[in-house]
Amino acid sequence: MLKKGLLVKNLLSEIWKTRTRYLSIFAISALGVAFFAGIRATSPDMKDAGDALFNASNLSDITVMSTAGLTPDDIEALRGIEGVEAVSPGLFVDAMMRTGGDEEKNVRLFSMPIQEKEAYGQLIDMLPSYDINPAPEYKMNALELKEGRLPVSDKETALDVKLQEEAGIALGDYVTFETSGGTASLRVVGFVYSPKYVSVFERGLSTIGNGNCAGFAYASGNALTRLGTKLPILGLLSTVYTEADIVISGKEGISAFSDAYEELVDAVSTRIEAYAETTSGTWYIQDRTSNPGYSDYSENTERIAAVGDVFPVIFFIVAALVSLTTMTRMVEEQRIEMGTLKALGYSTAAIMMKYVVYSISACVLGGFLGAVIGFWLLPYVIISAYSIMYRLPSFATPYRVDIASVAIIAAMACTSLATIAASASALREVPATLMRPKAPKAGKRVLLERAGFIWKRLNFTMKVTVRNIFRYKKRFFMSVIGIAGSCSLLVTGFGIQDSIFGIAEYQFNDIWKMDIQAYTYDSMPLEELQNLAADSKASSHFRSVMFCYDTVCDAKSGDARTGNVHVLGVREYAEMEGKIRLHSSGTEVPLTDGGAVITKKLAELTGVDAGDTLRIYSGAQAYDVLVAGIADNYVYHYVYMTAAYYEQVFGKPMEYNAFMVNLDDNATEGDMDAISEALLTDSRVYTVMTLTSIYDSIMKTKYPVFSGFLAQSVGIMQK
Amino acid sequence: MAYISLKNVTKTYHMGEVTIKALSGVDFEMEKGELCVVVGPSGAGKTTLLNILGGMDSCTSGEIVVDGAHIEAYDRQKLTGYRRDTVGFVFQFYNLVQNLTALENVELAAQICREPLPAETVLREVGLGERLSNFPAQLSGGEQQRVAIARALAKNPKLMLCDEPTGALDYQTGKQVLKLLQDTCRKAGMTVIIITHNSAIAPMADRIVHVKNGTVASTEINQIPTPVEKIEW
Repeated sequence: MLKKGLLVKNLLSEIWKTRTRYLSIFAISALGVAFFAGIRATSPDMKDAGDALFNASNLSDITVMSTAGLTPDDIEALRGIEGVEAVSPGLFVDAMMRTGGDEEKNVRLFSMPIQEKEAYGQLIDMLPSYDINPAPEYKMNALELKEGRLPVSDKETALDVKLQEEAGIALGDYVTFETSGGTASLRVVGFVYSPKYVSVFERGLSTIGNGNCAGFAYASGNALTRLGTKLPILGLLSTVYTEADIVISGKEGISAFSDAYEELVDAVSTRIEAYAETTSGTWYIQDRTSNPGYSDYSENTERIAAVGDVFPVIFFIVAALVSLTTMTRMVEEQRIEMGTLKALGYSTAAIMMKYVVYSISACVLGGFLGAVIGFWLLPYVIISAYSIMYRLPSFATPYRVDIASVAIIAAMACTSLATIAASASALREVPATLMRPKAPKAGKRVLLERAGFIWKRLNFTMKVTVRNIFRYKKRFFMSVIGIAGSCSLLVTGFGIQDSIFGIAEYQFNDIWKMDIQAYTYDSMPLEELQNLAADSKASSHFRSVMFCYDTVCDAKSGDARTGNVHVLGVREYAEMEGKIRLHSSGTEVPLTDGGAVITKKLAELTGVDAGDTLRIYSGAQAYDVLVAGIADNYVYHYVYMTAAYYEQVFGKPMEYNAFMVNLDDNATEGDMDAISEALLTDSRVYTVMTLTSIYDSIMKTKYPVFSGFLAQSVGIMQK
Repeated sequence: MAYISLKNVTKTYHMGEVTIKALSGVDFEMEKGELCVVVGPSGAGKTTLLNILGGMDSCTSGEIVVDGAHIEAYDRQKLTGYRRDTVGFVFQFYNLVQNLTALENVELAAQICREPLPAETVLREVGLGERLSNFPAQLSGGEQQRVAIARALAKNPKLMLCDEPTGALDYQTGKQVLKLLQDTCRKAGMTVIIITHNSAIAPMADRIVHVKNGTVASTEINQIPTPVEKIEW
């Protein structure tokens, strides 16, 4: 082993003297590693944040419902099933909530045990009580209070925070819940978050109104019984629950996003199913993916992970190129020093060590800094952006040694290979050649010179430039690749941003052509809705009206399940003219009575093609729809069908709950407002939206996350 | 047998399609402790000859024997060892490592040799006892060349090869450097080869080799070398 003390000193002062160069390798490595580590860590960080929320609130793993209701015996039986940790029976009902300010919201009302029940005595002992909590110490699906307190009496309710904001309700206000079975007026005592609703916006489906749930509420079980729960044998004298939430055992230390968790849940579900066979009702056994927004969140964590697979590679390529160019230049500048050291008798390896250590140390130090920043910054930015859509009360951004090691080792491999490539060729030369200034590359004739008529017209500088391109091919290609890499990053970034926002533009310019959409609370026969529209003061502005039925379902094909699918029934295809354009890449996709037209993304997600069958679920009921065609669409999922086909699928004549209007050409923005107002005076009308307001609401609520950074990264995978 | 002997050494460079014959059969010999000056016009092949003799380049054909060892047969590794332990180089542009002080530059060479001389002593001998911790950029040209000579000397080589050592120096400084080399040869019994295009300095040598067109045109033995002080050009 040679003594290298002075080579080390030489290296150190080299680093100091060429610190800007050293910093460029340091910085590009830091950037590459920060991106890699940050994006890779985001997915596990998001999963951890989800797990933290689910564990803190002890979110139930399985929810069972039965068409016959769940009896205390069923509950006992469920408790006895292997793998069931706890069972919490309860009631829920979909109700229309009316506020003092005449706002109406479609709400799912859940029962909750009232802990302080004893204080109210045994007033209603002859009625079945839904408020007795058999295990008061065991808390499941714990609500988190934003304001106020939880209900302590049968006359109180705690509302979804989303309703507080949307319906303008304050603590102490009274709200009225209405169902076909009854009415209950309750005092709002608190605003809560529920772990069952991980999404900020999504509240899932409702069995009433337009099928879209606007929020949830909690009240005592006795309050709910006043509303009726639409169960066949909800007798007065027997306790029957609508659902039971179940927490399974043995999931300690297992992430809810892991396969192991899924297996646990599946095993318990299978055992519950076996029990269900012995009862009279039809049971529905749902896991957490039925919770609104839950599977979306889980998909988003995967999406980010997928971005982490591809995106950082570009940075590593750029990092390798920067190292290669930097080190090539450095080696070329130091030929004489390398030659001198060779002349003094130093070995090639000893001399090369300087350059390898130079670049590797820059890379590793940069990598560490990058990891420190990346593990914090990227998950922070991405998760903060996602917390616009999901409730993520707390998330941590820990350092992850495994990811950091992979990133730093990869960056190190890139730079050291680049350095060895740059210095090896120089050191292969004999020292005498190294000591001489490098002979300039020989000038060469280029093909262009044959084209005399062009060549003659070039001036001297141009000729030199053209010849140099071919003379220094390596430099030329390094520039080309470097610029290509940077440009591709920029173009993807802007392109994705553009395509996301552009897609919305496309939806509004090319697909949706109506001016106004109006929805009623309840569906009604065509004639009634036609009269409603015609009687309105606004009707004088209508040029044409399309009457339709819009309801929200789930769609399923094989294992793929997609929520929030709009089934849109129209009287006949011709009426869609000028309202909704069905086309695929410019070719018209006509709607016939023989099948439905579904939108492209839905077809992709469920994997169905024209001619296939798509199964849609309205509540628990499943219907098979023949897919006759697939049309372009960019916002929401749609299954379009004619009234005739609707009747064939659902086995009943279609009723109508919406109409879309094209206004006179001379209708102004002010007219639009007046028309909305006029339509809303009819108590049957639920909501009126102008295309402009739809545009705003989609751009503001659906895509805030896609601005800036995320637009650039997440979008890659969304295409 | 002579201490150093070159027999029919040729060197051909290939530059793309062009072939350049730098040496076309060089023969010469010299004895241990001699000071040899190789003179000839630019492009005659002096530097190529020196590089091949110093293990800095390989010859195309021929035989090079230094102290009984056949250098032309050495592989890369052996050549590295040969340059490390046998040869000391002095270059026209000094080639000092800019990041290291005078003393460190000498130690850089000495630290890997088998029997090095103490770096500080050698630097004092060349008259740089006061400049030990100066960086090359803080030294004059002559001082830098003396550091370079000290660097070659500290390796305690069998052979010192100097390529135009005064080429970048003025008359007076150049003379001092040549004097140092002549004294080294005389006092330390070192075998020294100096190549130059300036035939005026030839009388200082024991042996004068005239190189022309890649071959040795003539060799003179100078029985009474002129002390450098007496040479003028």
